[in-house]
Amino acid sequence: MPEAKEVFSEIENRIKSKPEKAAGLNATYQFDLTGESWTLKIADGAATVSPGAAQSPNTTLIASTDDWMNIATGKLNPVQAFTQQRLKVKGDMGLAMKLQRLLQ
Amino acid sequence: MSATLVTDVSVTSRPITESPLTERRWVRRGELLEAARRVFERDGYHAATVSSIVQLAGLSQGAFYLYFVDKKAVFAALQEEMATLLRRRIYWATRDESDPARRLTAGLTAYFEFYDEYRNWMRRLTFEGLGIDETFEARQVQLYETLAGGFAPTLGELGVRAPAVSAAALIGMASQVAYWKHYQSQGGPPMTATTLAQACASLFLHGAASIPISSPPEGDTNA
Repeated sequence: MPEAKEVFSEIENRIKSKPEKAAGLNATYQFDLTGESWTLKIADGAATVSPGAAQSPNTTLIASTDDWMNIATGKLNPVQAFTQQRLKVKGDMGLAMKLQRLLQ
Repeated sequence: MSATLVTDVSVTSRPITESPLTERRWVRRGELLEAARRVFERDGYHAATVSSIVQLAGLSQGAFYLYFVDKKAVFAALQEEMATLLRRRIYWATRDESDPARRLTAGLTAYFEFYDEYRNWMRRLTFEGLGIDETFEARQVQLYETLAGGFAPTLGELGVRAPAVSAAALIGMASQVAYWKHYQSQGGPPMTATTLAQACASLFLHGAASIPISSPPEGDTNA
């Protein structure tokens, strides 16, 4: 199982590798895991990931670290996690959906 | 492995601008997807109905059409969602493995573990998805091409000639072996995902005579 840092680094690299897909998107995402938070900022095709909470996130994804890591690595079905409330999304749901498309 | 990282939740079946997307709506959509998967697994694509899906989800028929145009649309959404899950699982299972032989086995193990977990879906997809229409076939072909593209560099590192066509053959073999394990094999010692992966990798790279003896002998199958 990779560490959360590796997963978020991969997300950052993934967006950077295809900046055209993030063009025009300006959003701050916060990931609240067990005892830790991560922030993903996307601004005009550029992505930056940093540890810690955001000042004013547009969208916050909440899950235990284990569940999040299992979702990220394909071991937990995110739809099941969401319907079982093991993954919660607060804030702008439209931006959450844009993020998932961006990372597809 | 060069398989792409995908971290999406699922595809959207309707433009999100049609109505405000709320957490409740997202949950409802997820519940419909989950119910649909169970119904497709149980009844198959052709026998499944929107009525049976909403009944299992505990929602009204009208709720279904807020999220999906028809049965085909929800099947397509599931097809993409499950493909994403599989690609993601294989990617992370192989990402940090530097030894190509171990990477090959790790990737195949992830495939067989996924098949173990979603065997009924995979069975329906394999045997019915290709017979629905060309859009379903195109999605399935895309998945197979992505998986093969992920395995090809590893096969190249292992000295396999023509890694692209070899990777396509490997994926086809893995799919058939997984189906055989769950729906055709009778008797013989139980085979874990790892055992199957080792047998497949050995068969593919060194020939049938190299398969470890822990695999069931030929006479134990009805294939």
